[in-house]
Amino acid sequence: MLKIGVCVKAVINPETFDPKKYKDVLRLDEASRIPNECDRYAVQEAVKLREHYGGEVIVISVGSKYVMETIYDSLARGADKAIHIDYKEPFPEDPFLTASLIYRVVKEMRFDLIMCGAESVDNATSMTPAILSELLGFSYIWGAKKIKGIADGKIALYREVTSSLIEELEIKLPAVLAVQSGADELRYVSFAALRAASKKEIKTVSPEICGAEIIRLWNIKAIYLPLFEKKAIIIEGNEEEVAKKFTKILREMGVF
Amino acid sequence: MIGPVEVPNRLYQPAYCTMFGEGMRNALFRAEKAKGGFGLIIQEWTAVMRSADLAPIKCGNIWNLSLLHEHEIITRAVHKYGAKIFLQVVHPGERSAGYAGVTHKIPVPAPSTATDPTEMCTTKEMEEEDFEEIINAFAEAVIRARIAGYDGVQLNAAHSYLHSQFLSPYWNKRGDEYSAENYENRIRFIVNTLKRMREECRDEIALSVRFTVSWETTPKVEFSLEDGIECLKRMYHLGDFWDIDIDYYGFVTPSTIIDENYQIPYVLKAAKLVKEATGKKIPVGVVGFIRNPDSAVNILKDGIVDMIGLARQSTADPHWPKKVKEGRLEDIRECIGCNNCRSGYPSARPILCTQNVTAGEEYNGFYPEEFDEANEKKNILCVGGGVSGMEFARVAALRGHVVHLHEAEPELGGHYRLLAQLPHYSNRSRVIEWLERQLKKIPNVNVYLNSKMGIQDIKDYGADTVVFATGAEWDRSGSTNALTRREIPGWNIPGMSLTPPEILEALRKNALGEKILIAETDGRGCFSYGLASLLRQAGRDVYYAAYFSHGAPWMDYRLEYAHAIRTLWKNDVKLLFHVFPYEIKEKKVALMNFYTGEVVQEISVDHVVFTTQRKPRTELYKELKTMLKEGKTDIKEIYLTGEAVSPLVSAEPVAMARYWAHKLAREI
Repeated sequence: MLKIGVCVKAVINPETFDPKKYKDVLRLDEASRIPNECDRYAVQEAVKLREHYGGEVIVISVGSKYVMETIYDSLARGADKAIHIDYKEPFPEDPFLTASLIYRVVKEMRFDLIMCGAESVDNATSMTPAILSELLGFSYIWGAKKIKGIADGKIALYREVTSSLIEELEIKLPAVLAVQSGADELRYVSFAALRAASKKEIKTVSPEICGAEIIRLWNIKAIYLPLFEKKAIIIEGNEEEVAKKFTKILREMGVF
Repeated sequence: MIGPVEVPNRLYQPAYCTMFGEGMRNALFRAEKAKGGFGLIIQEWTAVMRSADLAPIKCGNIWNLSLLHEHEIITRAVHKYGAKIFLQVVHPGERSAGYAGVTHKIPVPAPSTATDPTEMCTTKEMEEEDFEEIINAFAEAVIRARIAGYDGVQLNAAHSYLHSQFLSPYWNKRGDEYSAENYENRIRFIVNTLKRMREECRDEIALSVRFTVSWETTPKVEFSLEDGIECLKRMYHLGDFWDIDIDYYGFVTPSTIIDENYQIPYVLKAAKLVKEATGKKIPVGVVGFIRNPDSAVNILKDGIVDMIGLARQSTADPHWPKKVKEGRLEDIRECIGCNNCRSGYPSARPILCTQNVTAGEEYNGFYPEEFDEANEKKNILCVGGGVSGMEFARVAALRGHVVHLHEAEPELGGHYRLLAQLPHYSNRSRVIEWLERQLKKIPNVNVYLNSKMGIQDIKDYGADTVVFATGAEWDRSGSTNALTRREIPGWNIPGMSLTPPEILEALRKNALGEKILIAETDGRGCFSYGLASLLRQAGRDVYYAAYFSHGAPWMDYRLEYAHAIRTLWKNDVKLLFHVFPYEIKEKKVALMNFYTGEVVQEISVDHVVFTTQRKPRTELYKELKTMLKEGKTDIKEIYLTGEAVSPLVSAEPVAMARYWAHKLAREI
């Protein structure tokens, strides 16, 4: 019997996001959101473990009401229930904040395993699972591809290190895993599953409950497309001359 | 400005036949292009008198006065969207001998008495009275066009119709002032017609001319680009707009299996010369399978021509101009040049477009860019992600339904994707790519690949409605052959009979034998032809047993046949006519002449592939239908669509099947 938590993020949809419309970073809340792809794989691996060993899978998501579609997606994929940490204000992208909110909610829940996606397609820091594992004092691995099995308080898994090397290893439970996408084909979500999802329990928790344990370290000041002039400088000479000239240009540009 | 008429932009739809007849269907079809941003529509080929009738029914007609109101419906519809419309008036001369001559029981006028092997009658050499009668008919046509609201008229002095027949000694054996001996005589009839037509235009409407400026690919006509330019120099001042094209092996709309981009450079070269010859004073337009927006813009910028004509492309996407203007290039349905549209012409069937199945269905409420919202939003499971499945999912979702599309293969596209892997047919993948892009954009469609649904999966899915677009599969036993409709004995000898997908797989694994027999009774060709080409490229010996005396006749309707057969002969494919497999043996096939009933040949081959009719995949559908009848499922309704209903129901696969899927999605 396993108690598995899965952290899922509702990410900004890269296909439809138009940066010109979001000069004010706080208004990112209004962007259209979709479930993060590798979080779906995390849910699928968790559900497979539960099918094999028994137990329950609980998903957790942080953000305001835009996370609901993502939560339903996870429930439709087989999670048993959900916790919505309802951060009502526009949610500032801050992995420390996210991790500490989740930590406060899960620390008493005695999870055997917490699974997260390895990287979100919008902010892409990959930090939240690591910080969470530190706060919880759990083992941690980044880049889990597929789970082999659980025995004697350890979890055996595969990790893809480069595009062709696979690492097989095991770590002690309880653990936090940051899961890569692509292990097996994602199972489809039928209409029946979607209907069943709407009947499952979603508990809403407010951030105040987290109290003094919240950590805020990041402060995003602006988000914009890179500005660049169309200019080309051709540097000629042998290697040493080119290196000297190039360094000079960089200095003049204020790079260092 | 074209004569007295101001045209809103530089994009026009050149005249082409639809076989819709005059009236609402034609009107809304043309109006859709005006809606989509075309500035000028040139209404299709229209006969000026009885002896000019070309097809059994439904080619344009202006000599029948009762159709005047129908013409008005067309002009009004186009004007509503701010575009201008010209009427193309024609007399086909020798080319109406097969129809007008027999139906109306009148002699068919032409420069000389001639017999075309494909026509039913011989023509009559025109006398002075015939010239007068015909020119009067053209004048009458202009008057009627003016009354019906057309902004201009266009004389068709091209495409081997009557006026162009005077240009070449192949058609014109005369010795009088209309002879083919010098340029002035050759163009005399055109000039006289234009002058008379100009009188009736009364400076109110424009006078345009369609002209084929080069017949170099059809040597028997003896009319070079230089000849064309010389003619133009002597008469360009008589028209307000010269609409130029070139002949290609007897056609002006070659299929893309020949060469997708052959026409463009040639047409542009011709256009440059035309522009120079006409002293850059009179607007010139070209058409030649231009589809790429960047090419179109560059052509206009370089001043090579004043107007760009998009014919088949305007059928495939009447909103091409609008999408280009709005920067939505990925939404453009690019014409693939399959010529399915044109294939109905010999039997006067209405056009049907593979890329735009709403073409000609606007009068039924099917507009390409507009969709009625469904009254009741349903959860629909669509099994099968070929072209029909994708089209169904797209339209149903645009109407508000939630659609889950499941495809067993790792990629969408089904049978059409297989065809696109064959030589000459690679551009068919554009159909699939457009659908894939659109499906990604529509929010309430979920696409699942590698998902082979079984009956239990479907039952447990929880859908209200299940649609099967499961397509059709090849038959290894040859039992769908049109001769006996029974299995060919010996088909199950291991390794002998392979399906086309198995052939491709074996080729990939380098496990395919050296000699292969392609046995076809499906007169539509294309698959056999592509497969034969592929196997020759792979260095195999290819035998091609064709059912028809000369191979697939429907390739003829698509204007591909001559080129295909030429290619097969040149590539040393062993063509076998009048025969079909009688019995398959170990490494041998006995062929029977189906006229004499005798076994005439035994050839040694490693494999035989039957490119006969495919068999619909309906097992799941039938099983579910039984369950529905017996009350064993909560699913409310089920449908079968696409090629699973009936494979290959039009000249090239997919078009009609896609239409059925589209129609179902509009009504569901």
